[in-house]
Amino acid sequence: MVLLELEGVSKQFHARGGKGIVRAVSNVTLKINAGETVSLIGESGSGKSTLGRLVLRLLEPDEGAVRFDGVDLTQLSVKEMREMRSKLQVVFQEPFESLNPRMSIGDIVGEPLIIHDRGLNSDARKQRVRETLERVGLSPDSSTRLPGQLSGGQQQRVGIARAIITNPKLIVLDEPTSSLDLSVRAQILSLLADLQRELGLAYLFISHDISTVEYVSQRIAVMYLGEILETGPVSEVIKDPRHPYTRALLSSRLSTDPNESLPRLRLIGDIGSPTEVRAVGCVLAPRCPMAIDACRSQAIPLKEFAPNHEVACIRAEETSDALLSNSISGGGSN
Amino acid sequence: MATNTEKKQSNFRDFLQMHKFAAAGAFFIIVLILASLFAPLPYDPEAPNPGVGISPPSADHWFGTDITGGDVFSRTIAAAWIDLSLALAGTFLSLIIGVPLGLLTSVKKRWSDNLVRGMDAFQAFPLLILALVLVSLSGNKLYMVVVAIALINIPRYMRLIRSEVLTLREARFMEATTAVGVPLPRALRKHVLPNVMGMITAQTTLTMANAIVVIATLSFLGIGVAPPTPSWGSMIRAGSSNMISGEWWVAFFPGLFVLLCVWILNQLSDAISDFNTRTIR
Repeated sequence: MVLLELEGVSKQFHARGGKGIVRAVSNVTLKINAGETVSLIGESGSGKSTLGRLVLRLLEPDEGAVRFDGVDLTQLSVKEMREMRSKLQVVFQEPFESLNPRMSIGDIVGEPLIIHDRGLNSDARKQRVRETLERVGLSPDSSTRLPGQLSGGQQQRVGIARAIITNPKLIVLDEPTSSLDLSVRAQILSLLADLQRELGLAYLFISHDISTVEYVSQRIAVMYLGEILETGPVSEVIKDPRHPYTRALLSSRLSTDPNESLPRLRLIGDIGSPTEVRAVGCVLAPRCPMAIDACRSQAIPLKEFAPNHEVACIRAEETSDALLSNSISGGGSN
Repeated sequence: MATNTEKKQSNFRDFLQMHKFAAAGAFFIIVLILASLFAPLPYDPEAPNPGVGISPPSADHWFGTDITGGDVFSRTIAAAWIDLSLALAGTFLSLIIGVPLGLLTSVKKRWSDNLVRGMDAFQAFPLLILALVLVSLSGNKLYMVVVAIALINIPRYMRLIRSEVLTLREARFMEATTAVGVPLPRALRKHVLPNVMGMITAQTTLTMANAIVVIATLSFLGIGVAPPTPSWGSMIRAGSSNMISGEWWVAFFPGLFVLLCVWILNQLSDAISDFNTRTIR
C-alpha cells in the first residue's frame, strides 16, 4: 500500500545576494509504501534534506503534489496540516540542537501528546512518556533531566521518542546517525529497525553514507543536484548500479568484501553549482566520463530499466560493459 | 523526582555559590533599600540643622554634614529609597512593554520591520535631553521620570529580544517544534521565552543601573526629585560647590553610593549571563 507519494515536486530558492535561482529539488517523483524504508542518498547540496522538509511541509513546494495516505498535504490548511503532523514525524541530524535546551526530557517527549491527544490527562501523559522513554532505551528517570545532561546517543533517543509518541506512520530520518560515534550509530540504527518492526513505521532515510543505507533500507533513491537519477530495490541498485553517478558513489565506499569486483568510476571535478543555468541535458553530463553528445542535447527522464528499477541515463544498458572494456574507469582498477 | 520548585531553589543556591560577589552585592542593595525604608536614621534627613554648619566626617556625623547642617549619612541612606524605587519602577515599565513588543515584532514581517525602524528613529533623539524635556514640561512630576526611563529603555529591550528571538527561530529545535505541530502562542511561551529569560534578567539589571544614572543626572540638573527630599543627584550638585574649598564629603558619599549601585548591578548582570549559559550544558 502506498503511504507517501511525491509527484513532480520542485523547490527553488533565491540565491544569497539576490541574483540567480537555486534549484534545490526539481521534478521529483517518489513512492514510499507503508512499513517500508526508502533511502534518499546523495552528497551535500544534492537537495535530499530539502526534499525531506518538503515532505514534512516545513517548506512549501513550488510545484507538485505530496500525497500522504491519499491526501495532498500541499492543499491542507495550516490547521489541517497541524493535525496531520501526528502521523508524519521527523528525527534530525543534530541531536542536541533539535531539543530545546531548557526543557526537561519529559516535557519534550510529552509535548506532542499535549497537542495531538487533548483528552489525555497529565498522569496518563506522564505514563505514556515513561513507556516511550523505555521503549527507546532510556531510563524513565531521565524525564526530569535537561538535554545537555545526556550524551549524544541519548539525545538522539529522545528525538526518536518525541517522533514515535503520537504513533506516526512515517518518520523522515534526516541523517539521524551521521553526528554520532560509530558504536552509538549501530545502536541507534538497530533501535530504528526494532521500532519499525514493532510499530509498522515507514522511514524516509536521508543519508550520504551508502554503507548505512545498504543496511537499513529496502529501496534507495539516488539524488544529484535536486534530481533523482536512479531508484530501485537496494540490493539490485548496489549489486548492479546502472547510473554512472550511483556507480561513482559506490566506488567511493570502503568495501568489506575483498572479492567485490565492481569496476570503479571516478567523476570529473566537484559537484556542480545548483545556481548555474543548465542546458537541457543530463545534470551529471559535465562530470560524467561516459557522457556522449546525446547526454547534453535532450532531457533525460527516469526510465524503467528492470521492474521497480528506474534509471535516468541513456547509456544505462551499457554502463558495466563500458567501464570494463575501456579506460574511463579512473583510478585503481579491480 | 525533583519538583519544579525544588529545582528552582537549587538553581538559586547554585547561583549564590558560583557568584558570591554578585550575590553579596545584591544583598547590599536589598539591605540599602530596607534600611532607607525602615531603619531608624541618626538624624532627620530632611531637617536642616543650622547650629552645626558644614563639618567633616566624625563620630557624631559619619559622613559629615552639609552646608545646612544636614547629616550626609542620613540623607544618603534616605535617598536610596526614592532613587532606587524610581529606577525599579522605570525598569519594570520598560520590561513589561519592551518584552512583549520584542516578541511581537519578531513574528510577522513587514509591519514589524516598520515598527522597529520607527523605534530606531526614536532612539536617534538624545535620550537624556528627551527625558529632561518630558519631566520639566510635565511640571516636574515624579511619574514622568519613570515614563522617561521607560521611553529610553523600551526600544533597547525590543531590539534585544527581537534579534535574539529571530536567531532562536532558526534553531533546529524550533523546526522540530513546527514538525510536532506546536501552535505559535505555545511555541513562544514554552520554547522561545525560556530561552531568552536569562538574557532578559541580565538586561534588566543593566537597565536598572542605567535608570539610577538617569535619575541621578536629572536631579543633579535640578529636575525630578526636588529638595528637600534627599536624592543622590541633588546631593552631589549641592556638594559640588563645596568640593573646591576642600569639603569633599558632601558630594563624595552620595556619588560613592551611585557608583556602588551601578557597579554591583553590572556585576550582577554579568553573573546572570554567565550562570545562564552554564546551566544548560
